Amino acid sequence: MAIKSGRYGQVMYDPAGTTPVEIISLNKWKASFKTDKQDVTCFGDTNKVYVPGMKDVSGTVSGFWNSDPAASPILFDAADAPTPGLLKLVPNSTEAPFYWDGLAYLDAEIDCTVEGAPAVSGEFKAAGPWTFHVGP
Amino acid sequence: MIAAPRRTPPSDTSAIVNAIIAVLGADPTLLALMPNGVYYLNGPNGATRFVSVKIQDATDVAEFGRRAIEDAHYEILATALSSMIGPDDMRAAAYRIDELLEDQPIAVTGYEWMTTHRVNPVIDKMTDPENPNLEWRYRGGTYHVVFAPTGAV
Repeated sequence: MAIKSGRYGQVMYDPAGTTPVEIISLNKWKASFKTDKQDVTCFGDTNKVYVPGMKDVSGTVSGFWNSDPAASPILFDAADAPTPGLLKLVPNSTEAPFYWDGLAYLDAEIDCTVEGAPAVSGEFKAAGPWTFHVGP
Repeated sequence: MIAAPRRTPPSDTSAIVNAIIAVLGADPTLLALMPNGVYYLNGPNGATRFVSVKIQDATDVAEFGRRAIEDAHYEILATALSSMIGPDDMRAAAYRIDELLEDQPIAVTGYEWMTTHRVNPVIDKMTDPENPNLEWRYRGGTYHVVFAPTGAV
């Protein structure tokens, strides 16, 4: 185990929720697994005290617009989908399976400017339990 | 450990440079004005009217697993000794360079063309560093040239 490059990251998705395939032309993903904290501070406590509540899973993916069916159209189709797909986020595909996956709803955005390549991005929110898969 | 993936062969930036030089160098109108030809950096010894092409700055933009975009600025200048050409011909040469490049797709194996456009014009002159009796004129511009590697070679 070692620190790995993000160059070989991956974002994979399957609208049917079973076998995710890579969305190409992306270059960034970010996921948040924050848990709500309930304030249970009482009289006499010397500092605030919290207990964990429910974990919230959400994040973003982004990259360049590419009309290839294996690229940006997946994001925009997902944004229109009434049902969640299986989203898989891989920090480095050269390292045997460390990844997060789970059902998610995706939104999609496109940002087109005369100064550069059109960029796409999407936000996701969990639509079922998410799992961190640890390598062998 | 899975073998490090190289999804596509590395793109060959020289092919872009060569293609730009080929486009300019194949144009009879430009060659009539700049008869010594089109070269990367300087022309050959003795050249007095030529077009110089050079990469001013360049950035490779990555997507996961591969080079996605090669984004470069090229300085492309009609270059001539003042004694060999008048300002009207310098102007005509710079305009012809612009006609040949501005928004014109360039076919390069291994790439998909994205854009070619001028970002600033250049009109300049300079005394020859080795002979103060000679003066060089430069006219053309900096061109933003962007290609997406396709992986084909």
